[in-house]
Amino acid sequence: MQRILTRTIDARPLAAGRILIGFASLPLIVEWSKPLLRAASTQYLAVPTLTGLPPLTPMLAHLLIGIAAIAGVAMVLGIASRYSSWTVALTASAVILFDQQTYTNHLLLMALLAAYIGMSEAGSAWAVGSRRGAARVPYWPCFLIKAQITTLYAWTAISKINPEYLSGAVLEEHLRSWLPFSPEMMQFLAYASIFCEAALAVLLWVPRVRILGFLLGAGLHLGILLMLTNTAPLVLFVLLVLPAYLLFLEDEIYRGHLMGASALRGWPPFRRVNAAIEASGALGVKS
Amino acid sequence: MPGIVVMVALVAMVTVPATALDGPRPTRLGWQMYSGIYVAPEVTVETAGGAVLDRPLEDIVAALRPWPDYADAVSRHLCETEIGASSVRFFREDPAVNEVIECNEF
Repeated sequence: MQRILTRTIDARPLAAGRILIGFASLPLIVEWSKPLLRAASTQYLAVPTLTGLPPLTPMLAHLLIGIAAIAGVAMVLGIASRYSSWTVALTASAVILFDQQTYTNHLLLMALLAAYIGMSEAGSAWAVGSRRGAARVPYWPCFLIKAQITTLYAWTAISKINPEYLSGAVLEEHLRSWLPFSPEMMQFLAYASIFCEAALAVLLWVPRVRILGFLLGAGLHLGILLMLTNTAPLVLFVLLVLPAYLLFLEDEIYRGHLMGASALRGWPPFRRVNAAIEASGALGVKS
Repeated sequence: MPGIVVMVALVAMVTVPATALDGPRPTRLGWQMYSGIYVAPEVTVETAGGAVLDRPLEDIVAALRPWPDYADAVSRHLCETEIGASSVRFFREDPAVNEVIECNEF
């Protein structure tokens, strides 16, 4: 725990996370503004999440959309990084609190990740007005981003352990129609997806097998994008999990070698990648 | 201070989704993406004259989601806006829902 609180990291992977999360927040506005504006109108039924909040009016809904858009752009550019990140997080939280129908898992995830970025010094690199060079910033907000994504993988796997999902029916419902999968293959995919998500929750934390986590994560998300319908939210989800992968990658580099402790360290392509990264000093590390 | 923030966040990451495991899936706060199929109930309004009118839920609510308890809000809304409405029925085969709400309850 002490190491989590005292360690510092290169600001650039965190800045990349800030840019990705800020970028994802912008199309998310398009997604949540529709139910929010409907809930604010008198034509559709609102279902408030909390009682006691001020009434959701069209003017308030438009104000939230405007603030979220400006804050999202500022977050990408790194303008007042902490404030813009917190504004993105708080407007998304307000949207969720105003009406139950605005909630999506990726909106909540974006709000949480933006809050962690708001706690960090992600504006120390790749930001308007930031000084050049590789600033070192506290690690603990990065730990929270990594923990958030890996616990999410774990809970996603746990929630899928139910008869309906294990039967393959859920995947069949969302699978692209041209994929010629039999019911048995659907069942296999259902079990395999749970295994992948549960494995990711562990593999990414274990240096010796982290490379397998990277490969499994890439395969899982690519597979989801290729095989499932309604791709737009899935792309946003990839944008939101990517910062955690970048930070796990930073972990590998922090340890001195990209693949140094992995089971595949002897494999020539990885040796060459290590050598190239070390020679270039990319992400602020030089051997 | 960072230590407290990290501890609180970690506890929330572990405990909050656990509370969402009890009940139909998918629901909120549990990272339950693709964990189940949501089928919206059919909504019908019965008028005092005996007519039965279909009122699709997606035409009434701001966005169709599995987690809100629509029964009270939707029936109240339909009883107030549908001329001559005497009751509102919510019906779904699986998981079974068959609820009739009389308009004179409001």
